[in-house]
Amino acid sequence: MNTDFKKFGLYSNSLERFLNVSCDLWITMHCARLLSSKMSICVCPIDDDNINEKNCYKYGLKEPSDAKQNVQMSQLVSKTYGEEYKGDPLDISINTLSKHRSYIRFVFKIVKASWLTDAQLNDSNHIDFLDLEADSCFSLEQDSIGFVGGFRKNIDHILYFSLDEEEVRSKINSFFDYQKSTRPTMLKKYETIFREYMKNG
Amino acid sequence: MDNFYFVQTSMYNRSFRSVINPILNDLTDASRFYLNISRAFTFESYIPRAGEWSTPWPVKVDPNYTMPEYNPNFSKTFTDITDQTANIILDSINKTDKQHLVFYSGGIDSTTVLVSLLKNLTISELNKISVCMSADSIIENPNFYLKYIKNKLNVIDSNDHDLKNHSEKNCISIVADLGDGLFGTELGTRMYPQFFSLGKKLGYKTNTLTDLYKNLSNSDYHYSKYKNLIIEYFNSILQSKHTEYDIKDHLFGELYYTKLDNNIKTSTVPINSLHDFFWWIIFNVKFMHCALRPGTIHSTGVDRTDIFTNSMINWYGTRDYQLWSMANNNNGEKIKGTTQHSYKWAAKKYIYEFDKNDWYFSHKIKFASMPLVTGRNWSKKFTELDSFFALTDKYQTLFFGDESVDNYVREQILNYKIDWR
Repeated sequence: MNTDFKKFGLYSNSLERFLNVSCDLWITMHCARLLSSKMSICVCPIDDDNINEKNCYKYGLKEPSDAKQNVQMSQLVSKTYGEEYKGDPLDISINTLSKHRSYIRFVFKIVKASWLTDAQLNDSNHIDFLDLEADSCFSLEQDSIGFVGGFRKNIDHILYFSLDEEEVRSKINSFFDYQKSTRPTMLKKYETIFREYMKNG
Repeated sequence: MDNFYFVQTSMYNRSFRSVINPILNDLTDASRFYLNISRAFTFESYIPRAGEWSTPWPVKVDPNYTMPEYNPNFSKTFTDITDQTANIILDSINKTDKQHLVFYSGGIDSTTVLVSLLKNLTISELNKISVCMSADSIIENPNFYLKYIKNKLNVIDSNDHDLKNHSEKNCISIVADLGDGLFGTELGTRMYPQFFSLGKKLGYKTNTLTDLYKNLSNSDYHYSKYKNLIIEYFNSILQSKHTEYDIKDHLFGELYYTKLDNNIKTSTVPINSLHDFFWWIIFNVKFMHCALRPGTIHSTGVDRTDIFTNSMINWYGTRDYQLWSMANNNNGEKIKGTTQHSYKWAAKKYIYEFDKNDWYFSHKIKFASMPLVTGRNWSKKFTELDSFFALTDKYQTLFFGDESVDNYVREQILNYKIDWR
């Protein structure tokens, strides 16, 4: 099986169209997982050079049964037939579609920013390392930067359960509330870097 | 043998396979067809409520689930009936001290049930019900769980999915298994996305396919216009699942289509469009399967009388829901357009009016979520669940592994005749 794909599409099983395209498989897989609380989606490698982030919603799979799924979790589809131009999706208003596509792009941006921030600042991520030791009798509630469950897990939780950008922004603002933090300096640092990545993302 | 209310034979079940293996070389066209139904659709469990439909077994419709007479003037809406059904449950709650358990998967049918109860019952009345669910139900609709169930309703883990236990614990189970029976079947909604690839295989022109596709729920486009596509679709399902598929199996699609066509022609309910055709399968011959499966193939025990007479309420089994289903074909209530998310439109609209979640409304599609829970339960109680054969009209269970049952099954399958063409 070919593993050398340059682009990956977030494919809606219900609309039978791509809703976003990215070059990063792992970011796309992770976003699909978070967005699965709201829609039935999977990730497909894309061969067609004409498909990009702007026009992807007019393209679908030639054989949509390749993407048929029986469970809610996102999955990578190994497709046989490729993509084709299909025009505007049916049975959904353009307003709703563009609102939802804009939210999906927003989720991608946040996930990318949170991964970069964590990679840059979390230099002693003991929670993840402890998870590798299956029989460990030790536990860590907070990682060394002071977030219960770790920074990324908290951001993921917000994205999984929120329904629109406004709700996400408001929950992220509360998350960066220094009053409640045991490590306000580190929290401030996280917020600064995170917002910087968001601005430039 | 008594008459049967429920039969299940599946080539994927070890017990049935071992009964059938000795006769695999002696199959007639009819017995091969019968076994292929279970290969293609996981099991064969058809009991006709209307029209001609022969089976190898003496079957009978449970009087609780007979089909009402078609009434084209039936005017209650889906919302009217769904709200009214909450009051039926309330009556049941008030009449007994039994605990009421709502089986919730997070899918469209069971979410509709919970919405109706949340809309129509008071907080103290809601305290008398419990939601029977698993982690899968949260994953299927996380926002609904967080907003309306978590810390608000009593929750019971459905991992021990056995109505026998619930009836022993003095509970009444409220199940939504007949939701599919009202709206259609995923056999249809899984075909629609493959429409163009099926048609191209058969040499249809794109314009013709586009026209047929756009009109799959139009009563002026009779299902017979789709005959070749349907037959190809049925054959493609069998081919993808039957590891020893050979030329004799190629009759399957046509036999299944003509059997359904004959059933439609001998019943009195108008079946017009392609979506009607698929709906009719589940509303007629598969209705009993959906109605009784929670207490049969997902439960254990020999005597199921208490489950079916005292301990189970089929939310969508009422006469009004059935009359609604017969009077609302091809008007956008069952499927609004052609894509998967527009299926079960009336139920999705009912949920949306309550929770205003436009993601669920715009993108939720029907999943076969039940196998997730039942699959786990299956391995825990493999011996009893795998060997289930039939439920008699006295609510007694027959199991494979009993020599007289095994001999009877082989004999009936070999004597089955093609009597519909």
